[in-house]
Amino acid sequence: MNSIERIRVLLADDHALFREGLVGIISAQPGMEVVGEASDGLEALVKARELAPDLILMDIGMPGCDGLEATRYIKRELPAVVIVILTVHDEEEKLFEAIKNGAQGYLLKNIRSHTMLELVWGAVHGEAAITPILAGHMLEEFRRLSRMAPLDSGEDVVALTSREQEVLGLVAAGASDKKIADALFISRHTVKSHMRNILAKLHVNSRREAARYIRHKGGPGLTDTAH
Amino acid sequence: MESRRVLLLSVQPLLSESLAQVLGRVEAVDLIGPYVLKDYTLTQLADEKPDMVLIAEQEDEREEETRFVARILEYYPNLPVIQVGLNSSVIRVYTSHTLPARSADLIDTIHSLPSRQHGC
Repeated sequence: MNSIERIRVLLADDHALFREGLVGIISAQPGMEVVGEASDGLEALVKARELAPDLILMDIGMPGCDGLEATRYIKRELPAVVIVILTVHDEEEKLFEAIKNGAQGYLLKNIRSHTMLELVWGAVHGEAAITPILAGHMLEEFRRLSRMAPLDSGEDVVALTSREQEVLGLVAAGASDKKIADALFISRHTVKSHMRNILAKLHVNSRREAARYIRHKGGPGLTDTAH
Repeated sequence: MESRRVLLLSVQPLLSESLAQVLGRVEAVDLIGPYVLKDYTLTQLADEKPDMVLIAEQEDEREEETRFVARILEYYPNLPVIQVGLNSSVIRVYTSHTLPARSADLIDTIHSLPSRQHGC
């Protein structure tokens, strides 16, 4: 990739005050300028088409079209744009979905600005903008995927336990980990553990795929033979 | 315009840096900090004498912030506290004021506060 002299940045975040501060932080960098702002995913797509930025800093939780969907749409139309997710969501599934959708990085908003700036600068020059802890999650996921048989290999889906079916039912209804934990009187850690098992058993990569798979198969009706 | 001394306490570093950027440009705001909330003490608060406290918070883990806000309100009842978080695009302001303990003041206060039946 050719070296970019001045990075043109589009900020996509629905938190106006945070976004305004981020404009100030980025504009203070000699090699960066903010060329536009968006407060939802669709606006990010429109502005990306119009402004052709080098880099988009994309929040996930935005009204209407969220940052993960927007990343997918933008990368499809403008593959050269570098997108780095900047979010409060410390969730593996969102991380994996972001990367699958084409994000060059995934950063949590609990980092310091100088770390963020170093990492996004690297992302524009081909590096992954990801902290070591999240990189560790990615490696774990790759190891898990490498142990999985491909979905079309004819290998049977291992049956879900009744608890896993309950969790999956709530996931299919759009519940967050916290809502699932509250509904089933279990910890969020336990919910995440169940989700990992569900994804492995169904040979899918995200809760969205799991929900789609189960709806396609007609509900979480797999009988309980495993535990 | 009279300047306001705003003490910025941080649980969320990037948010607090963003707030510092915004407020740093405002002439009538004298920004103190940001300081990390968990390391900040009420003794320091007494020394800094801010006009208000602004907390850049992590909304998912509010126990520590809530305890701190409660202590500020207990020891400095006239000191306003403003909370800004990333999960919701709102600013929450806590203020308190004291009135004489007379029935007329109590009844006036009750009537002056909005009814939840009409939303709040």
